[in-house]
Order: sequence, then C-alpha cells, then structure tokens
Amino acid sequence: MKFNKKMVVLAAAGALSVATALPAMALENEFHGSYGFKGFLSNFDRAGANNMLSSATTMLKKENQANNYFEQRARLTYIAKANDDLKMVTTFELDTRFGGITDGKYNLSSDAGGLDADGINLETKNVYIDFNIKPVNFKVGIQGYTDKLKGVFAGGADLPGIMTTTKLDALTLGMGYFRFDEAQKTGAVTGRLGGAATDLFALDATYAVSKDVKAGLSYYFLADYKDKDKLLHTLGLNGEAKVGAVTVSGFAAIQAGHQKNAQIVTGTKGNTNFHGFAANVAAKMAVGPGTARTAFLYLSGDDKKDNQQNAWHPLAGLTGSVSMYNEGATMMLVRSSGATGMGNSDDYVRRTLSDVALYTLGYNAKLTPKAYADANVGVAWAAKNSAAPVDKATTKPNATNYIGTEIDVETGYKVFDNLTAKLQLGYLLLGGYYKGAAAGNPTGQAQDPENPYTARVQLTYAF
Amino acid sequence: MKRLIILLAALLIPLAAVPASAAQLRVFVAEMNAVGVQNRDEMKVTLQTLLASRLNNERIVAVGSAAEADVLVSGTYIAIGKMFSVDALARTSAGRTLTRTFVQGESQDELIPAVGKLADKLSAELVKLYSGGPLAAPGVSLAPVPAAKTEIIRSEQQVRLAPAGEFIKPRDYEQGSSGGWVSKRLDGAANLMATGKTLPDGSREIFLAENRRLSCYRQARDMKLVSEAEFKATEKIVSLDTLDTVAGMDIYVTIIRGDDLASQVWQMQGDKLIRVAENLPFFFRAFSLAGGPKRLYAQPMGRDRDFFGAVSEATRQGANITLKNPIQMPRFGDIYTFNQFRDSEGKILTVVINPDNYLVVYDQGLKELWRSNDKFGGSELYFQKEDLENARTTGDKNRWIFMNQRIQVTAGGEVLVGRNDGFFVIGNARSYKKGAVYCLLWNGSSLEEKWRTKETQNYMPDYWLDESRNELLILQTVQRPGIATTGASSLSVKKVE
Repeated sequence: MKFNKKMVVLAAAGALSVATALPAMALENEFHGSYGFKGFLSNFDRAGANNMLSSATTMLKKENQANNYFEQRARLTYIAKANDDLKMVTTFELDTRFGGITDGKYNLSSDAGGLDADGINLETKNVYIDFNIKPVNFKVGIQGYTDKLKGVFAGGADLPGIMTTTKLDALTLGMGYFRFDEAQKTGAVTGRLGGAATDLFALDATYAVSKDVKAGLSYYFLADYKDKDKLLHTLGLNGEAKVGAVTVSGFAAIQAGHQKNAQIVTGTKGNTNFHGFAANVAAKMAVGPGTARTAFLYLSGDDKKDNQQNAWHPLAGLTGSVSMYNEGATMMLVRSSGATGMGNSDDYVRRTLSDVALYTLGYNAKLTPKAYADANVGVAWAAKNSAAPVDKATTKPNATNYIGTEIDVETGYKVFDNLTAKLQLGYLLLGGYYKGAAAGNPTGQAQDPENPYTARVQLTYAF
Repeated sequence: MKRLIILLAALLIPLAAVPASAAQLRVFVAEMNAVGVQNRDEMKVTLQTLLASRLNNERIVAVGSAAEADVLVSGTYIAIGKMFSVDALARTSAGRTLTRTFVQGESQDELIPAVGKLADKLSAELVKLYSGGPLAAPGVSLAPVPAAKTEIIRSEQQVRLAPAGEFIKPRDYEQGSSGGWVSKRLDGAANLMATGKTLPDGSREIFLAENRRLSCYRQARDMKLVSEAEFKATEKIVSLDTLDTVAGMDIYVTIIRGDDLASQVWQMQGDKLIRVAENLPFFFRAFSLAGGPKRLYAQPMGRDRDFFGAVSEATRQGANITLKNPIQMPRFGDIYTFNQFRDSEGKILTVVINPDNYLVVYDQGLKELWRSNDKFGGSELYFQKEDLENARTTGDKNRWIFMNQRIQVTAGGEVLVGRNDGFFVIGNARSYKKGAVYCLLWNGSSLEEKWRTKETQNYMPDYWLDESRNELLILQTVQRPGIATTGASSLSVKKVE
C-alpha cells in the first residue's frame, strides 16, 4: 500500500512535469459575441416579422394604442483555430422578450422571459469549418452569406453550404453552393433525398482596379425543385469608387427564370416567368463633424395583370425575407437588418425586399469622441401600385405609388469602447398609397391609418 | 544521524572545492506552486520562504528578486492523500535548466525537514555546477553554462524568469539615476510614442499621441509639456512616427477619418506644433528596415482590404507623397506588422506578427521559415471601418482592425518586439495588464531570446529603442480613460548595456 501511494505521488508529479513542459496548446480559442437590449414604444413595432401595412392584420387603425415591450438578443461565437489555415466557427443565438414567449418555436418551454427564466432558447446560427488550400479559402457548413448587391437578394442569410473564395492578386472570386430547403425535411414525404430540394449557386467576382476602385460581377442561380420547379437566374454588376472625398457605390441586377405550373392571375394556366430588376446608387462623404449620405434603391414590382412576374424576387421569395438594405437604413420602411441595432423585432413596411423605390438622405454627426447623433430621411414609393391598399371610400385600390416619408433620429453614447447606449426615434408620414385604408373601418367609412412611429432605447455590446 | 552526516558530507565536499575568493551565488526562489492542498496561497508563500531561508549559506545567498539573481528556483508542491512531493527546478537567469530535484514525505510533519533536504540537494548541485570558476555578476552572461540538455517550455505556474544579459537593475527605477528613469504621471492615456530631436542642453523631444491629441514633451530630468494639438471627434490617430529631414523633424500622424485615411504631417516650429500637410491617404511608419537607416514608408488603404498592396518607401514634398521601392508583403504582413533582418550570410529575412500574435519569419521568396511558440505583440489600439455587409452577423455596423506592437530591428540585427499579456483578451474586448520588450536574435533557424525587460505593471502601448543613446523607452498606460476621464500614462527610460 505504501508503495502504491508513493507510486501515485510519483506518477502525479511526473504527469504534472510533462504537462508543464508541453508546448503552448495547438488550438487557439477565440470568442466573439454581441448583446442587444431594446425597449420599444411604438404603434408599429410589435415584436413580429411582418410586412406591415400590407394586409388587414398588419394595417394600422385610425387610432392605435402603442405597444411597449423589451427584448434582448445575444450572440455568442466560439472559434476553434487549429492553425492559420483551419478553424471551426460556431455561433449561437439567444432571444428573449421580457414577459416571455411560449408559442411557436418555444412551445416546449419558453424564451426565458418569464418568471424564473428557465427557457430553452439556444439557437444555432453558424457551424462551419473554414480552411485554406492556397489560394482557395473554403467554408463548409452553416454559414452567413451576403450577396454583392448590398444584401437585397440574400443579406445576412444563414445557409448550409460550401463557399469558396479564391484570391488571385486583384481578383477575388467567390463560388458557393447552398442547400436550404428540402421536401423531405418533415419526414412526411417519401422519395429520394435531394430530389425536391432548394439550392442556391452563387458566384461573386470582384476586381480591385486600384486602391480606390473596385468592380464586380455576380451570378446567382436559385434552383427550387421543392416549390414547383422554380428556376431563377440573377445577374448583377456592382462597383465602388472613391472620387476625391466622395465614395460612390452601386449595383444593377436583372432576373430571369420561370416557375412551372404557377400563375399570378387566378384562373389562368401555364408558367410564371421572372423578369425582376434592381438598381442602387449611393454616395457618402465626410462633411464637417460627420458623414453625409444619400442613396437611391429601386426594386421592381409587378402589375399582376399577367403571369410575367416582374417583381424583384429575393432569395426567400415574395413574402419571406433574408434580405436587407443597410444603406441609409430606415427603421420602418425597408428592412435594414443589423444596421439599426440587433434584436428580434423585424417589422417593416417592406420586410420582403421587393416592389419599392427608396430615396434616403442622412447625416451622421460625431458630436464628441463618445457621443453621436444621426438624422435620416427616407422617401418611399411602391414600384407598382398593384398591391395598393383599398380606399374604403371608393372601394378601389389607391392609384398613387407614394408610400410615405420617414424621418429618423438617433443619438448614442459610447459608455465604453464596446458598449453603446442609443435612443432612436422614427416617424413615418404615410402617403396616398394608404389613403382611406385604416384597419377596422367598414366599407364606406374610410379613414386614413395613423402614421406609424417608433421610439426605442437600446444598449449594444459587441466584442 | 548517519544519513545527516552523509548529507552534510555531500554538501561540504563541493563547498570545499570552491575557491575561497569566489563570490556568493545569488539565488532567487520564486513562489512555489501548490497542488492538492487546502490553503493553497498560504502554502505557496510558506514553501517559498522555507526554501529560500534553507538555501542561504556561505556559498549561496537567497536574494529578494529575480532581477538580482544568477539562478532562479521554481517548484511545485503536490499532495495526494497524506503523501506529498516537492519538486524543484533551478535555472540560470537566461532560462537554461541547471538541475531538477525532489523530495517526498508521508505526512505534513515531514514537510519542514523535507524542504531542508531539498535545499541541501539543490545547494550541492549548484555549488558543484559553479565550482569551475568565479561567479558572474548579474547582468553579464553566466559562464560557463552547465550542461543543460534542452530549453524547458515555461509554464504559467512557474515564475517568469529574468534572462541573462538582463540590463534592467533595481536602480534603473530610481528617478534621476544614471541607469534608468521614470516620468511622473502624464495626463492622457497615450497610445503611441515617437522620439524627436536631442536638444543642445541634452534634453530630448518626445511625442505622445492619444486617440485625438498629439503632445510634444521635453524630457530632461522631468517630462515638460511643450505643445499639444487636439484633433476632431471624427478623427483617430492610429500611428505616430518621426523622421529627421533637412527641413526639420517631420512628425507623421496617421489618422482615420470616417472610413478613410486622412493623415497629417506636423513639425515643431519654436515651441509650437504646426501642421504642414494634411489629408494624406496613406498609413505611415518610419523605421529602420533590416537595421538600416531610418526611412519613411507608406501603404494605402483599399476599398475592401484595409492595407492595400505593397509597402513603399515614401518621400514628402509639401503635401505630395512620392512612393518608390515597393516591398512585397508576405502573408499577414502590412506596414505595421513587419520588418526585415539579415541572417549570418547576409540574406534578408522578413519577420511579421500574425493576427494571432505569433512571430513568423519568411525567407527572401516570402516562404515561411519559422514561427514562434510564444505570442508577442498585442495592442488595444484599433480603428473601425463600416461593414454593413456583416452587421447582421456581428451585431456591429463596424469592423474592428487592431494595430500591433512595432517590430524594431537594430543595426546589429537584433529583433525587438513588444509583448502584452492580458487577463481579458477576447475578441474585440481587449484589456492588457502587463507588457515587456523582448530582444531576439536569429540563430540560423529560429529567433532566440537574447534578453527581455522586466514586465511592466501596466499595459504597454508602445516602446522605442533609441539606438543613438542606447536607451529603451517604454510607454505605459497607468490609468485607462473612463467615461469622464482621459486616463494617464508614464514613460520609463532604461539604459541598454
């Protein structure tokens, strides 16, 4: 026994000596994360994910009581880096609304917003490996992807797939394949896997002409065999140049394709053909104590008169959204995911990026090294008024395309380098597009919906 | 009793072999590590004290700091059940292993006698090793180095050893002494430092830059603020360099305004800082490439790439910058993370700090030759660029680009690099706690440590070796800026022997 004890001590000492003599761990552990707290007072934001003012349920009444609620979103990223050429990236998300949510994806538990928390609300955002076989970088797994069209096709979309990026001097070539839907996913359908799936093929070529000029060509092919054999080609050109003190950027893209046995006009037969169009130009320059910005975005709409679908078709289709437009970000008009702060609330007039023309003009002022104030005006029109709300006085859709003018003000203070406190105020003056369309009024008693407003306090911590 | 006699004899025999005139061996016993014991912190100090006092004898003097020592002893106490083992490792101040030894016992009652035995064993070994000649004074390489087989990778649990050639002595910290000097607390947490002219009275111009302030100090017995300039809230200083030209001392201030570079050049005219050029779209750095003459280098910013293309030698004519002799960067290289040195055959090698803060050495064909096992570099200074494409993923509208410690190469081919260590260094939230400057030398296959400074008690944002005076300037952040305060810095100057 005595011998054994000695052996244990010696073995432990030996093991410790070996441990202390080992070289530095081969794995680098890297952590990133972000936390966003938002408090809302708004007749528009309702902690949802809706194309607001587009239907009877999302249209505002003449008079509305304001929603007041608080929510938080945290994202945690852990990166296990084996060497310069190999790492695994994982990102998880935790969303909570104060008061709690117990339906939808939380129906087995809650989002931890109730008494005593105890929610099950950890979501997977990204899990992928990132490795280099020079000169190609590979990302394999569930990863974030944003197109080179400022995100109006796929913006901040998290997709499972394989993305390669090849850098050859001034040329950067991105090629990707993603599968993000599958008929077999519920297990209810029998058949071969992959036979009825939704795939995206992406190609992004960017050429740095000089330090001040870059130009790019993009091609995206959406092959949706799950949804009536929809094949959609998107071809785009993009560029950015610094001319003197002004940075100008923009893109133009067209779409072509078809969807078998799908009709826009009820009662007709045949296929739907896609002819979407998108364009943007933006400029910014340093002026005085800040940066002045202006931008124009056009995303085509459809007149719904035939089976030619002329509306811009984002990746998630004509009702969903994994798209964003962060140039001159608006709080209510067009989805600007991430640019106005992180959170779960995702209500916009154009949450689906399509059928809109948006002009923005803004100024971001840095008042002191820690305090800033931003002002932004956005004017929006529907590209086509075929989906205009019905004026209950005339019982006809409104003839004008003018959606409204949004005025946003934001001021913030950097409490620490990584922690910013913000106050956001937004007011949307609705245009003729919504004339007489207030919700809840019977036909013949037309009233205009109340102008939407939002007031938000935010705390954001990112590291 | 018999055992004691043998032990004493073993101790006395080597002692007798030491010449009477030999100096005492200075040994520093570091805090011991303790594993499997309840009062861990107490035990660590107790063991250190016990061993230090028992090592003290005619031939060995136990000193109070690593800086004074020829030999450093570290150790670990492990207890499992009633059994314990005390293991000790003796190393030169250069880090070479001299000897390892241990004792063990079966109950706590045996601990004190066991430490005595350990001290005896160590004394015997050390005296034997150093009986070949007089002991070298601290600060000079110990000779001869005994037959240490290999370098031991340091453990965090062990003391950070002060190496041979340590030129920092306790007296260096005494203000006004000939060897070293520490400034008073300076207002503002400076991120960057550059040296200017030496004036006829022997004082020296020192330029410090905070995020939005450039200050000129005159360093003699005190640091005297001579002039300062404030920058706009939209601007951030990311580098500061000086270059002596025929037109005077140019101060290159690299500034990010919004998303773009808007760098400036200043000069001291009389006692005033005067701006002589602005809105220059370059990152600037003035340094001695491969230990050669100090020159100005520049690199532009790209649309996507933060550091675009090659680093070029730059000359200034008024507000015009002319670029020539472009240097192709190896992987991870940019104007702030690279330098070059020559190997023994005169070939130019490039050294870079990579994003994980490892030093990487490349050959002339920019092929990787070697990379360090230890991390170097580390800076809290950063600039931001708008990155709306990833705003949804990162939760931040901006991308953070961190600067790094400068790599300085001396005329003798020594590679100097700063190193900061931090308790909390995660992602973009960096908070370094202490720093040191390392001097490394290429031995044909790897960069080997020649010396390093004692760790500062604060984050070290910048350093500079003034080769003309053989002085090392170390900038420290003694107080970080707060919500309503600008923080404070201090500067120490150490003589390099």
